Amino acid sequence: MIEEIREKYDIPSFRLDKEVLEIIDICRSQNIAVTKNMFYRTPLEVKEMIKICKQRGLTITDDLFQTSIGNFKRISTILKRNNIPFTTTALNKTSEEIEELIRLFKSIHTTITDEILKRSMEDIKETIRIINQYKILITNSVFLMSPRDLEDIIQFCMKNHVKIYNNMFTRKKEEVIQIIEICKSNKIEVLESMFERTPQEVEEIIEFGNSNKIAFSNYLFRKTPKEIKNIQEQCNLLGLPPYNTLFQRTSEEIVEIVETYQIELGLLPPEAAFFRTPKEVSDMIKICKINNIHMSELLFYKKPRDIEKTILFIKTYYDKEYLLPQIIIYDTEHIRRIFSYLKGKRCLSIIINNPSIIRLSLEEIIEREIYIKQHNEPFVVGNVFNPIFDLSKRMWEEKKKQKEKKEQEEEHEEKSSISYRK
Amino acid sequence: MKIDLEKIQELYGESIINEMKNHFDNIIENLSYLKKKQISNYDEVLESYPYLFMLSSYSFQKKINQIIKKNGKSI
Repeated sequence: MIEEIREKYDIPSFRLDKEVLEIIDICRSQNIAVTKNMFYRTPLEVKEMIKICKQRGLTITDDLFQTSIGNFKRISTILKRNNIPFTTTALNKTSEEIEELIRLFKSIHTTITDEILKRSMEDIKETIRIINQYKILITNSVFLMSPRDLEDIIQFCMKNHVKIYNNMFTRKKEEVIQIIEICKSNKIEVLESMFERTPQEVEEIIEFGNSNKIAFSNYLFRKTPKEIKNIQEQCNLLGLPPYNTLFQRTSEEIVEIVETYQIELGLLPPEAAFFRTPKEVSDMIKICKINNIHMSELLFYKKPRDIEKTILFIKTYYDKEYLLPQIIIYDTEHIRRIFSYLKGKRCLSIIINNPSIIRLSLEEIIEREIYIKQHNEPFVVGNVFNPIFDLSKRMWEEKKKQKEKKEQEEEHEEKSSISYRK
Repeated sequence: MKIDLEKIQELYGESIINEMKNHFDNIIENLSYLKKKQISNYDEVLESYPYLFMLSSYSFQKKINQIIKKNGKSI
């Protein structure tokens, strides 16, 4: 029987029969599969390594037993000390190499990942040199390709005046170059999300886009050619305008949103409705119905739960008559500050007819109020706020400059008349 | 060009900044459109109406042209 076991696991001759059986017993008692490389370690080493793996939550695989117990323990300690997850890939390195890597990566403020540990020390150091030389933004993706390919891509991009995107390095060098060439031949800007697709997909999307007059954007290249065709088909069937943001959604989601909107409101949804999922659109419509709020595109720039939070605030501390889309789109804390201030001035209700004041910060409102006080003007004129609160920042700055200039002229005139009298 | 993102966050909340990141391309394209229209305070327009800039150029140009028609180039 022992001979069969030896043959099955190709056990080295230096491992005694007694040790072989002991290792098998250890595995049985721990409910672990026996693997070939275990027999390159002593039973005590196998037992210890299994214990450490269980403590560190490491899956026990055959690779683990290729390294010495000393290296295994040292690497486990180093990784634990530096809060780095222990994976079998780390065992491809010596403990000294792991320590060097930790030092290197601390200096470039990047975390060590499994992908990085797969690369040789030489490659890693060369990649860091290239990143520093070309001043590339450091992300883990730069370590996905060989340093030579990395440098080739960087140089190709520089030669062709193409911006370097980090997701380029998730593709093969040839693919990156192909994608750039495809864009050049079609006279199209190279976009970041193109590198989420293969060159063939990019070409197919560009062809489809050109034939269907679809503007090229990052939204588009996040979808496969098939998905794009489905979306475009649905948009044509539903009579939707050419919003590039539609490509954020799937064709099924687009149909669902349009159906919900048409059933509930008898209208085609505005573009911003497609910023939200079908459930969010449905929830938003419900919230507006319950609170008697006029459905507005503005509301879709936020998630239903954020709008609901603001509605609850206004209903709790003020009144539901203030539940206007132009108000509830703002942050609750900002609304609290402005409302509190206007309530103190006994003119909060004016905001219902004239909500534009809420686009100013409280500091801006106070600054303009000082001006109108100096000019003996009222805060409220009829049933709207003083027009000064409607001025754009630029117009307000011009007004202040005119005032300063006038004051300076008056001061100068007064000084001249005093010196004349003397 | 100086966009006061802190002010946008103060007025609209953090979620709007995340939303703007998702539609960064449209924001850049729409800002270029305003520059072409010789709206000198395009950064201020973005701070006041960040949500408009997230829309596709198709929608944005329609809406902004209406505003320009109403207010002239001093938006």
